Amino acid sequence: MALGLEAAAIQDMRLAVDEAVTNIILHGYGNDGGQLSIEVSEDRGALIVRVRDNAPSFDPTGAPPPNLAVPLKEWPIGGAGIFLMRKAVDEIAHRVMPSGGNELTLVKKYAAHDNH
Amino acid sequence: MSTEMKISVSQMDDRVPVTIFHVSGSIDANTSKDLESRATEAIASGTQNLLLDLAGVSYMASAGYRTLHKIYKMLHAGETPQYKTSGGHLKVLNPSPEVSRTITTLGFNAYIDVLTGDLRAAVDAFA
Repeated sequence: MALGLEAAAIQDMRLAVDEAVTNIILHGYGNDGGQLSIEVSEDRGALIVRVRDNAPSFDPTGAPPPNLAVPLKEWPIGGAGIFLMRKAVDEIAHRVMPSGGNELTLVKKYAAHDNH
Repeated sequence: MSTEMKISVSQMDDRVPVTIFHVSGSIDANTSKDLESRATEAIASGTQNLLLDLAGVSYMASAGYRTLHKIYKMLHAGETPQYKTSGGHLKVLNPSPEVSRTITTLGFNAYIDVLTGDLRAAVDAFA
């Protein structure tokens, strides 16, 4: 049972990380290239991935408040990436690091024990 | 791991004309652009019913889902609230279990029919 939930959570997280990293490479670094770090951890039934870069400060969560009920037809072409990430994982947080650069934290819950 | 993608196109014109893209390989940040431009060309030449046969697709990255979304929007570009029939239709056939699950997670299945089984039945579903 737990394995099924974990596999699905990992697939969804992979999609969100894929989207986040692609955006950093294409938009954050452009043609210059740059460094990226990805840290994976687990905490109380949640999978946590932190993606850190040295690109110019950019907050993908800064778009207007997400409306997950928005039907596919109305997703804006440009903002489709953040909509996709929000559907795939439970929480997305952005901060600018003291050293500069961005840290994006993605959280996907998979264990049942925290459900109320 | 191969990151190539191939598309072969077929056409079935029974009750309604349906263009089928048989896609194989990996739909990722690079290859999704090919898929998008092939779909754009088809729609520009008049395709209104497009079936994506994904049986041969081993992996679909986030870019693939964004391309799916774009293709959906292109097919529905002509649609207005009153005249829904002026829009086109997009369906997907035999995606892998992972792709099928992600389509549902993203809520795409509300707008894009996900079909399994044989090609003929999928084509007939457009009528």
